[in-house]
Amino acid sequence: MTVEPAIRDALLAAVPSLRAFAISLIGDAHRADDLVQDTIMRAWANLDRFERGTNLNAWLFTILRNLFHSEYRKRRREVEDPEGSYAGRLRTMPEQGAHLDFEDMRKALGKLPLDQREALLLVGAEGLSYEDAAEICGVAVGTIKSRVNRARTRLAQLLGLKDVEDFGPDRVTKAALLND
Amino acid sequence: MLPDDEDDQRMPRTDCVVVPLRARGSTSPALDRAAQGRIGEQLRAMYGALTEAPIPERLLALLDRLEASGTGAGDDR
Repeated sequence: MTVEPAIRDALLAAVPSLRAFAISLIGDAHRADDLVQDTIMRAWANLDRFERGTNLNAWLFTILRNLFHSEYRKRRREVEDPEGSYAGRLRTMPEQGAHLDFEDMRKALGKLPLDQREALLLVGAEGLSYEDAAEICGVAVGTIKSRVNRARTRLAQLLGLKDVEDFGPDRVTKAALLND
Repeated sequence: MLPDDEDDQRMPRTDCVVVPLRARGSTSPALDRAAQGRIGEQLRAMYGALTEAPIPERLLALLDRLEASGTGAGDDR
């Protein structure tokens, strides 16, 4: 079949999100781009299965996630990849200078179990609905909600608590405002 | 040791006022919400910065190649 130009443009428009998700999920920009590349090729070859008018990004995320789980994780295990190295691999991220501020966040993300990390990224970072995220991950909506909640709690433990301990006037003010 | 013992004796018997509650901090829902809010912001900021990064040449080239092939499902290999 002939691919309509709109689809090509839509794929292109989805690439930044796919990359952000893949990089945040894997922690390695180069491998993330391999994954995005495979995702685009897989999507292109299966375009007739994409229901026009439905959420293209959600469909692409599903493909990317399936590829990641079926191939990339295996490969990763072969290379012997303890969870601690996630943070180290993140140093190969693009424009690392500009992203140094997020170092703590990246380290913390790397400490989350994979199922929680992907759920949090889809909902909390990409901004997908719980329903879309559930469909992408092939689990119930309630499962996604609980994964996101656990991920948030864990991140708070990893990142937030030290801030809470040394809360200054600003934090107290914020807390008071939130109380209202 | 002695001064400690003295202190202990002077301590009022309010065992139920658990000091670690304050130290832990996380027991305050408001602070939890504030922390959660900031964590969410940080996460989105990190993610947003990644989405703004330029698309690598090889991905652009791939899309061009696919488009040039002019075909999608089925015909593709």
